[in-house]
Amino acid sequence: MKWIFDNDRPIYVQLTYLIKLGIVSGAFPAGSAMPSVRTLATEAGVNPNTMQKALSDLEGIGLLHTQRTAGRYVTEDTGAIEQTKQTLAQKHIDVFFEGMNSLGMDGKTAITLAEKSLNNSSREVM
Amino acid sequence: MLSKLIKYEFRATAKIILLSWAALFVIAVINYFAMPWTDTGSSLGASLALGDAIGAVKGTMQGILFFTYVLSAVAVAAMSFVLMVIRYYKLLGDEGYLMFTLPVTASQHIISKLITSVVWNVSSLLLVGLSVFIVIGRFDVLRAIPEYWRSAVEQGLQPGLWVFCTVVFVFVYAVSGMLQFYTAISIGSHITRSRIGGSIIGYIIVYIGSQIINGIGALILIMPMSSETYIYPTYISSSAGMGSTAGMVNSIVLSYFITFILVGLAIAIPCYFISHYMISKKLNLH
Amino acid sequence: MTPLLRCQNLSKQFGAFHALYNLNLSIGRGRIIGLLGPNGSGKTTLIKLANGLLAPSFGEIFVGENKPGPETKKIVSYLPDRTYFDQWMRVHDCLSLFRDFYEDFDTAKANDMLFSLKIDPNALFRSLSKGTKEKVQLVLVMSRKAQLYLLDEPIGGVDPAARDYILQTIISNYNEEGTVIISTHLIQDIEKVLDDVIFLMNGQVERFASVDAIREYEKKSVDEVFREVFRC
Repeated sequence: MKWIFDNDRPIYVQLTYLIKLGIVSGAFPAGSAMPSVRTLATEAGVNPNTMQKALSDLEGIGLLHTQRTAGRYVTEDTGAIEQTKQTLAQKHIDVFFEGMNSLGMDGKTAITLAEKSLNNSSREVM
Repeated sequence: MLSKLIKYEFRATAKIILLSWAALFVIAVINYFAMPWTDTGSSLGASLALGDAIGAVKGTMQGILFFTYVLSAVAVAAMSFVLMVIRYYKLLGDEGYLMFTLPVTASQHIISKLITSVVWNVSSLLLVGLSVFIVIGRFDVLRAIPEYWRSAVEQGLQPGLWVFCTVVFVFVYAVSGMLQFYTAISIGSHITRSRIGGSIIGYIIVYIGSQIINGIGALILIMPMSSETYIYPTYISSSAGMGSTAGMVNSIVLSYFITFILVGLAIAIPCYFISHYMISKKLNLH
Repeated sequence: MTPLLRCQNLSKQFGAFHALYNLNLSIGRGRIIGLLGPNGSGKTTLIKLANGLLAPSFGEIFVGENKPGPETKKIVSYLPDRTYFDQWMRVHDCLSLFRDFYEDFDTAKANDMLFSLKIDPNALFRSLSKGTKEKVQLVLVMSRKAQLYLLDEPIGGVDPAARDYILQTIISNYNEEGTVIISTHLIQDIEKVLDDVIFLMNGQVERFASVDAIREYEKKSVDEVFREVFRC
């Protein structure tokens, strides 16, 4: 997990995003126990209260849940995780099209370029 | 807490003081062995006159050794005193950031340093005294003391009381002396940023104050003498009675002791309270 | 709930100069707070007042229920901006001192921290480099389970690796009953660690807000806001 932050947005907002990313990418696997607030905060180099807020937010949307004595766990609902992944992916796609748009390229051209780039890189991998 | 502070104070100062004592002891012993070199009654001058080269060398060396001894004796007494003053000075410097954040009262700080000072200072003086006996090598003087004591008592004097008074006197003045410096430093640290300059000003103030008290004490002492009534109540004097020489000596000695002990206390007590006030209510650590 | 630190019309002057003037502040528990301001703004003065190292010229300061004194010193752990151990002490003597005088001192933890910082407990304190001396003092301060930690410029003179270690220690030491106040002018490095910040300007509180609130409202980092507010 890379904890990288921007300067102009509240930290807890960024933390929420980063942890979501961690869940979606499998850094925090479904159903697994989350490290303690303090451990996460130390790792991320952030204030524990802020980390707590972010984690509470994620509990609020159901990606995390607290088992009373055992602590916090990632949800086992893989459907919900998948959903989150889609939403995040969609955001990236939106950003992509916006960017291409600002270069003066339309959607179709953008997609063609993207496919070409994908083919090139997979040929290199192979 | 107080005992912990005292332990800390002793640990901070023991090394230097004990080393100085050891050095003094060694020099004293060396001097003891060097003493007989001119025992035959010949002095340096006489040796030179006789062309006695070896005698001259011995004489010179003995002179140097003795000078070294005197120097070390003075150094030991002075060092102990100076070291203790410096301890307090440091308290109001960087070390204060450590000391004044400990959960300890101002009184405990002052008293712990005072106790350590008195112990070291008085012990150093005793040791210097002891070293004199070592140099002379004449411990038989000590054996003669009971003799002198007995004869003094027979003459109606009261050596026991005097010894007691001397002990009290020494302690009161050891305490009072240190407290004057503590007060000077405390006042100095409060009024200015420069601790050294402030301490000097503080000492001037304390000195003036103590001289005034001394003056009052002397006045009290002199007045009765001239009107022939003594402070010292007659019933304490020995069976020799008021008119006897022994009785008068007792009265005079005792009245001096009492007066100066009271003067010492009259200086020490205000000094303590001023220092305490300065470092508790008016602390200004820079 | 009594605030952990409370200042009421607090003023401190040195001669004619007012280091703090009519300061009012109320700080609760479980927060990590940055005390920010340029040099001479009164940060160190405020911290020294909370420690009882200075007496107020006017107004009052309370730590919990009490004014600064032996009772408050039991629960306040202070890291000054200077080294304060005497010449003769070795590192383990410094530990013994803290252990003797502070009930809340955790000797094992201190030894662990010294070990991971590769500091020899037998070393003479005065022989250590300046940075190492500061680390020792930090270890001692953070090994206490105090209620109020007052850190005066803890990351000022240290290298980046040590800075990270210090910030990590502060985070991992955090407990809901205690509050940490960090005075610094190096905001960029510690902004993410702070809950709230106090801007101190000319001896007065210019603002007291949470880091996230400032970022949300100003759309900038606290560091950038600070530079704007305190522009010369």
